[in-house]
Amino acid sequence: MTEMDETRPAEMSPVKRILSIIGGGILGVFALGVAVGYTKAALAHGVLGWKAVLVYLIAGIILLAGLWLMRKALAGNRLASTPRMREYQIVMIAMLLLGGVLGALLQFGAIGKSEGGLSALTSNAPVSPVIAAVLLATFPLLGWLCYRWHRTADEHEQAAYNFGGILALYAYFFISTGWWMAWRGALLPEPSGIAIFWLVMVVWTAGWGWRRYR
Amino acid sequence: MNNRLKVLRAMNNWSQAELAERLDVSRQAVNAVETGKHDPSLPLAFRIARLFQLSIEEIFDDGNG
Repeated sequence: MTEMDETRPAEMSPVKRILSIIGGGILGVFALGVAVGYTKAALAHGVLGWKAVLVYLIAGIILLAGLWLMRKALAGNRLASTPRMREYQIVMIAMLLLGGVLGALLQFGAIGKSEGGLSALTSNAPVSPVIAAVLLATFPLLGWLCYRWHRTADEHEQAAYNFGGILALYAYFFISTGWWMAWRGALLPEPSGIAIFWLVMVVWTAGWGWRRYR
Repeated sequence: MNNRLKVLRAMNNWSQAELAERLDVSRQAVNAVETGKHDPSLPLAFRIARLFQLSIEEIFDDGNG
């Protein structure tokens, strides 16, 4: 049986909705990456020419496409009427928005350095000290949002989160030790902490999504 | 674990979203309980039982009864 509520048959399926939200987010990050990457390259050569208008236009169209995808996926949603579930939804939205802002800041912080685009999220290249300080300053807010999430998420959500967390713990164990051992055996380059972080996050998200929407 | 939640919900003409709001959980949680993919905790089982004015055993069946 699918998860679709039979009283609302016209709604987008949960899987399609999640894919649309993720796809929209990727398009948005990609568009920012294109704009930042071009700006960085153009400034390195001294001038932003007329081609910049075309690049920004294309990036803008990609960004709008991403926003359209996300808007379509979230259309018809409304906040829950009970205080607890409403706070849970607001915390989720706040986390998504904050994540988007921090990701964009990280990309812009890489301007003038050696990295831009999606690679700014995975590289160890230096970023602006001001941007780094701003990102670190948001950690208490992130911690508070996480605390409120755990206080308001229902037991089904918590179970999915815990399931993904267990998978992620095993992923961390095998990836970190396996990569480290392979590096010592000269089979792989030196382990990258941030690459391991993203791999673990992907496993966590996949486990959570499967358990919540299966 | 088998349960009669979907039948009881239909008898009250509630959508999953409406039942979810009455139980203060997400619609996905209601769906997961209805389809047996999530066994509710005791506190949630009691909330469900009180909502339908039934005992827990009248709603949930672990197959050993």
